[in-house]
Amino acid sequence: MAEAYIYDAVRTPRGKGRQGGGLNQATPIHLAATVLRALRERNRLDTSLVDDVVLGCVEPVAEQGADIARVAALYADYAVTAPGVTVSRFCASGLEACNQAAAQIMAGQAELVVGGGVESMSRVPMFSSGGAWPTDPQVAHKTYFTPQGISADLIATKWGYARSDVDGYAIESQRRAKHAWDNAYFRHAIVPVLDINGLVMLAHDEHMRPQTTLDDLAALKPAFQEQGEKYGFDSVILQRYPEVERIEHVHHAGNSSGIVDGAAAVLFGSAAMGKKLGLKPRARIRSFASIGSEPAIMLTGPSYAAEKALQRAGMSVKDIDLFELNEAFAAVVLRFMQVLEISHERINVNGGAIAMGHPLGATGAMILGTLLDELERRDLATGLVTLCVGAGMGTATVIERL
Amino acid sequence: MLNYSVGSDGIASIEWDMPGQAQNLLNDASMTAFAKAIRDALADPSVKGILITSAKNDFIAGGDLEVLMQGGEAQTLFDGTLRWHKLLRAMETGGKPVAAALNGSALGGGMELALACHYRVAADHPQARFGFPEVTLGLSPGAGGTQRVPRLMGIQASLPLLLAPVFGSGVLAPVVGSGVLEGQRIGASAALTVKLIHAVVPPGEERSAARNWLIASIHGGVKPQQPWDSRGYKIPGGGPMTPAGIQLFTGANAMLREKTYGNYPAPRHILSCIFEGLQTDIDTGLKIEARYFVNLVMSPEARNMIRVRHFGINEADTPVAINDSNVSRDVYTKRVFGAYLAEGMALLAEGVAPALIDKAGLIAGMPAGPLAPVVGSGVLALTNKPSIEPAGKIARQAQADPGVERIIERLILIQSLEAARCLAEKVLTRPQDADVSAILDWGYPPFRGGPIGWIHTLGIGKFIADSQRLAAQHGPRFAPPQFLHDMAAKEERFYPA
Ligand SMILES: CC(C)(COP(=O)(O)OP(=O)(O)OC[C@H]1O[C@@H](n2cnc3c(N)ncnc32)[C@H](O)[C@@H]1OP(=O)(O)O)[C@@H](O)C(=O)NCCC(=O)NCCS
Repeated sequence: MAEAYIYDAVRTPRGKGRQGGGLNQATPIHLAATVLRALRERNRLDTSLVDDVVLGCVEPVAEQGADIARVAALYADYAVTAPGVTVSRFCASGLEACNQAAAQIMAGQAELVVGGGVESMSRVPMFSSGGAWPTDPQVAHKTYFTPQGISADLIATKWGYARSDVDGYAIESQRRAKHAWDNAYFRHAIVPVLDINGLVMLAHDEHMRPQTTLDDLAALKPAFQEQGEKYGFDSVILQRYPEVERIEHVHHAGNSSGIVDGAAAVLFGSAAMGKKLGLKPRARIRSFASIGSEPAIMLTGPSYAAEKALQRAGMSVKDIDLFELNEAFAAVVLRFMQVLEISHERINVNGGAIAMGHPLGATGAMILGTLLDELERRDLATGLVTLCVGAGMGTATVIERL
Repeated sequence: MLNYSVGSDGIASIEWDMPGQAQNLLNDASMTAFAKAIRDALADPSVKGILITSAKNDFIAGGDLEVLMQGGEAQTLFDGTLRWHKLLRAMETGGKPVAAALNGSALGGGMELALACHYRVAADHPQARFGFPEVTLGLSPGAGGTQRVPRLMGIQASLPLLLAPVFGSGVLAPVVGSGVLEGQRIGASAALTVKLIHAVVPPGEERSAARNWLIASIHGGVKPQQPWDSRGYKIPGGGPMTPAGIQLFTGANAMLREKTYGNYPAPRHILSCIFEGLQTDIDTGLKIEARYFVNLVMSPEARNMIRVRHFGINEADTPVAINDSNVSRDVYTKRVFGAYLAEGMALLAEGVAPALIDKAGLIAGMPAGPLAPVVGSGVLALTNKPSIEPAGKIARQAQADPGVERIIERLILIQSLEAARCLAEKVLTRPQDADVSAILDWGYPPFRGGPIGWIHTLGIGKFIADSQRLAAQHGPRFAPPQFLHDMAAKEERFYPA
């Protein structure tokens, strides 16, 4: 099997995903083209050598519809011969896109592929693409469809994470993100989003609230209680988990992933292509895996995905220096750490989506880059990135520096 | 059956008048007669408009339960359903105006027939009711109701009308907003408000009102058309895949499971008819509806609910058919419902979490878990209730967890076994009394057809095998009584269908 190497990884800053957010002015095509151009310029790429552009996008409708990967590549002035494909594995789409990019190279069917993702949550809101899962009565019935926030609350309830536990985790995410920004740990990856005149629209992650205290968080109202109690979703998930007495709604705006806009791109290539382009490989893909897990609790997939990916690499948890698990909700990370016995020192060391936000289709590619930058900064060797995924899935990737 | 006449004004009058019955009902004979009348009227060039009326106190009361209980082969049922759709479609697209004069209640298939008319005028009788009680029988409207009602008034407004019967009133309020619809069948003025009918007139004037509309329509010279057949028709409020529709269905699905624990396919299938059908044209939608309808007609849930209804739980939910004295009903209730409560205690003693036991009772379809305090009267209040400490964070403790399905099986089978013993000991004499009493006296889930109905649903052979398995695990309280073995040996059944 051929090896797939990571040659570069870039991301936009994350803008507040609402009206007036820093990137609300930027179309999703503009966001995606921003990172594609950055890859080309930083690496002086001859884009006629690009075999494919694989982008994750969770709401591929409206401006993000109709294969945004291809249209973004065209708009970014990639050679017309560089095709594009859009993939969705819900919240892991960005990582899935990277895995599929790497897979083409590992299978010997491509030499140079861009993986990445884009999501303008302010312009194409969550749930825009509808779908049968929540709406089709037969499907919702069979799968006990429950919105993810309530699934996260179930995880906290089932494994006994109190409000103070999830809030404590969130505070630390904010602290770490601020520390990373203050010390410019992200400087290598960040590509400011510029307007048509070259003026800066956004150059930093704007969702962060580093001044947040535990008392601030304690004052926030649970975000998913009304949904759970008024619309019957608590009852739905308790029918699936009858051993749980009631749902403790512990998640809120301060310990859930922020709704933001952004894009990311990662350059994958074979060893030969790297030589030809004069690029230095930064890491190789050791393995990747996706799994399916019970869909109503939905967000327990990362530990299974991590175990599967590690097994494929012939590795174990202790062989991994640093982990990135998307902070979709605080309880998701707490559960992952508990199952795999990973200390907080080794995971999400520069904060995560609770502080900086989770631009759905882009996040997986973003945190893959974050992990690699941090492995380099600390001069460590191995890292695992994973995300929880809607409808009960998990995706994970193991990388190793060279 | 039907009185057919054509007046000098060119209006064909089709008057429903089923012989020997207080109510007009839809069955093979009446439907065949009606189909012929409609075809005649459409084919007769001297007929310019069609008036549909009733000679009874009410218009048409719905489908004939006897017919529905017969069931049949899927293909036969489907073909028959489509034939009726075709007739109603011919009526509404035949180019001649059709008006229904609703002199009294129009329910179920009767209301659906009226919906295929271009004009519906109702007499303002305080007792007259309009609506779709099908769901209370485990069925969906099968003659276009799920397609025409939401196309007429919008999906949101249609849900309480089509689904409220199974929930009682107000249940969908968080989704659809509280409206004029209170309860399962609505009166004439509410029907007017939601646009189910076009006009309400003083009793006795409905025929002339319908006739006047027909004459105006004939003289207006405009081809009569249903809204959904007109060019540029749009569903009021938008279709299922609009943002509002997505939100509505997402919420309705959850609420449905909250209320029904997923035990009742009928309301789910009704939602599916709307969800799937309203993304297509009306003719395709009717086919979708027919598929779900046939599925329900053949379902054990509908069969059980229709059977129980047939035995005499009338609309007001009062028993009319129980032979035995109230004393024996009390004894029966104490024994069978008591067995349910005792099984809950047995599970508790085995170390199963109280929350799980009670939840299993609810998921099984019981109105309350076996450990939950019973807010009841009469017999139930006499029952000894175990007092349970609040369970706290029980999920964290290591507890026995046999799995919710196993718990449900025990809670349900123990009731059937005790009910069977009561029959054997002649506490009650007829299986139907045992079933009706269970549903009325302690809220036994109707979809199971009562404790004896549940034995019938499983099949006596399977029931015996399941009980013996449980007896081996949990003791002789699960041993099936001898007469069940005898019935199985002789291939006897409690009920014909
Ligand atoms: C939880 C969620 C519903 C909150 O959304 P929201 O209510 O729009 O969030 P806001 O940013 O408006 O914050 C709500 C309130 O909390 C406050 N708040 C948020 N974070 C805070 C913090 N760290 N400290 C103090 N206050 C905070 C805000 O100021 C706001 O207060 P206000 O109403 O007085 O202005 C949303 O973030 C969410 O759904 N996240 C998960 C996204 C998701 O599901 N992703 C995909 C699946 S993993």
